[in-house]
Amino acid sequence: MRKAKPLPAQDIKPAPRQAGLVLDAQLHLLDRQILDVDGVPVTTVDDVELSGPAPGEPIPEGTEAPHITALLTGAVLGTRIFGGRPPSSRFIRIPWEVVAGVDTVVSLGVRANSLDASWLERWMRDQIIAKIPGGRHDPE
Amino acid sequence: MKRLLGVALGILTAIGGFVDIGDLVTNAVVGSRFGLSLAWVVLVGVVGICLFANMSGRVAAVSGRATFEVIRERMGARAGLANLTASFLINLMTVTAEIGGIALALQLASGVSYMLWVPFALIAVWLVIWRVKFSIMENVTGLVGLSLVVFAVALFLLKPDWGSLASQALHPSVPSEEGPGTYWYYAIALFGAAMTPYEVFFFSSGAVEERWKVKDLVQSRINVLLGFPLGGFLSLAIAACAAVVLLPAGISVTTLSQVALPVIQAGGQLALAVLILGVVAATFGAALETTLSSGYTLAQFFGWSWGKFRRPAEAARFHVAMIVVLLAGVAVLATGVDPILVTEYSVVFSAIALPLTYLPILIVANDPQYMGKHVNGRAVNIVAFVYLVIILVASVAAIPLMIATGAGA
Amino acid sequence: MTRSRKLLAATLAALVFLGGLLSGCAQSPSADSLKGPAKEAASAVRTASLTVDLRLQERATAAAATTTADDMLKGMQSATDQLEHFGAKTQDEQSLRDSMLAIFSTISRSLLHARDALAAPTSAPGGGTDLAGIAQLPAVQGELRAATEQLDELMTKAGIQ
Repeated sequence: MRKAKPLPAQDIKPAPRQAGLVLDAQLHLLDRQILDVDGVPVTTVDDVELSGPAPGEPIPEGTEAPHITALLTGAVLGTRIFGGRPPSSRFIRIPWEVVAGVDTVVSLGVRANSLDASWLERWMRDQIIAKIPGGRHDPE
Repeated sequence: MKRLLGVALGILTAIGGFVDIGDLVTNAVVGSRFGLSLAWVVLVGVVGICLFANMSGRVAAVSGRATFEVIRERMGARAGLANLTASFLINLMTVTAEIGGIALALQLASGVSYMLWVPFALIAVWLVIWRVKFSIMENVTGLVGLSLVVFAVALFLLKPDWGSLASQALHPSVPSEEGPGTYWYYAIALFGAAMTPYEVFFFSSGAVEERWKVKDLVQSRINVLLGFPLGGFLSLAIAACAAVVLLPAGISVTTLSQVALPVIQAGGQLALAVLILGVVAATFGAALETTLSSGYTLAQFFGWSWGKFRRPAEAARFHVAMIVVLLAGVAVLATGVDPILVTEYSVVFSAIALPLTYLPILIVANDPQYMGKHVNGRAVNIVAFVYLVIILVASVAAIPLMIATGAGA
Repeated sequence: MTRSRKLLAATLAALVFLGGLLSGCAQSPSADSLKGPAKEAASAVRTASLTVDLRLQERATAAAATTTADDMLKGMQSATDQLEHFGAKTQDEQSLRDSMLAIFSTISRSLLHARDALAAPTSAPGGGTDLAGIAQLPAVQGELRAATEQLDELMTKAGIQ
């Protein structure tokens, strides 16, 4: 995944607005901030998930070119930096279908609260911050 | 009229916000040991921080992106993480030093051991971060911090030999009792104190917090270009006070109480009261800034929701991280380590880590993808490159000098 | 990546080596090793002297003055610790260290007296009868000055400036 080549635009399925734009996964996706539909930061693109055969397996003739199926976050950051690979059950995926745009930030078409990627934020909010007096009020 | 007021307020808070425990201690130490022979470093540092703060403010206003988001995007996850670790640890050291500074100032006021003031300082800092609006927090601590002008007043009251002070500053030389190694070590410390990287994280994140747009850049430039140099003058006044009173008396500064002696001598109890107010405000303001900065750096690297313009519940991880940082700082102080020592190390490590934040900002300030037509001009880039060299030299020389001089002993 | 890592390792090694080299050069005969604690003590006792002066002029508050004295006591403690850990190799070094230790304890004692005198209120309510407080300060000042002189004399003798 780290060696992802520039993808031809037609393979990035739901990106009709940006037709013709060539995205370099390394340059334009990885480590970019992800914002939800209200502009609230969700996470950063820690890695991307591609379709197609797993790395190292022989690629049969006539296989469709791989395309991005999801943006990954969470533990994959650690493995991307230090090497190794978590089991795919541990991936926290943001499906590519919810991505609305790719600019200097990646914007989503849904709210952060509906995503698995925000579970830690929600947990800390509900279990810690909201329990401290004033946690739900605007600063004065 | 309102606009003028805003500009004046911005300049005043920039002056008051310039000095923190690092500037206070380092300038007094240097003044008491080297006179004004290191005054030129303050000048170099002030020009540097003006340049640097301007660039990061412009990047934040134009692209709407704060420093650490940009650092990760440009440097990648691996180098970004190394950078985050270094910046975060230095930030933590500075938080510790600032909280220690609040407590030491309160000890000076009350005579009660600073250790008993530490929990009080912790809770006060946290409450402000938890509940008080960003602009109020900035303006109040900045304005009250202005009472550090008492150092300049004290200097006049002391009726020093201005000619000799000027000649120390204009013809710098290493005093006979100190070695050249120590001289250069303190030059780096002073540079680090003036150019603390946390101010840059804070400045750029603050620009996002206050939703700066390109049209606000003029005002921010005025604030920086007038406020920081005046803050630099304040630093020089601190050093000069020490040079006039402590250096001839054979006292080299190792505690905050010694920093206060020249002011006490010049202005008595009233001046002391103003001084303590100023030190508490300045260190309190800096404690807020450094705590927020550590939250900002973490949140921006990992892409969490952050900012004081949100309710704490809407930036939960950001607030949890800051609580943890404050507790960690207090835990360090609880070991009984001397806060002044922590301060002295924190400014040197700040100097060591400077390239880590300076370089990415410089690169992005030249990147049209982020900056559009607001990329650095040629003149800015020439100065910026000269500073890049200075910063790199200071960063590389710091550790060998630290070992060689036994940290300036 | 590996190349940049090697570079990093080499840089670090060079830095450590350079630092070791420089500190090796700075490593010095006995007078220099005693210099640190001696200077610290000299600075501490002079600070206390100045503080007592400022207190006598009623410029410093009792809180600020006692804080300063407390800080200086801590400074003396650390200077004494350093001196005690100094391994004297020759007879001369040992006698120098011993006389310095003796002076350090004189200084510490006078600092303690100073601290107690400074802590007392300047004007005792109801016309205080005890000797504590501001009345004692001139005596304490004399004690501090005598200790300063002793230390200066020894430092001159040992060639520490």
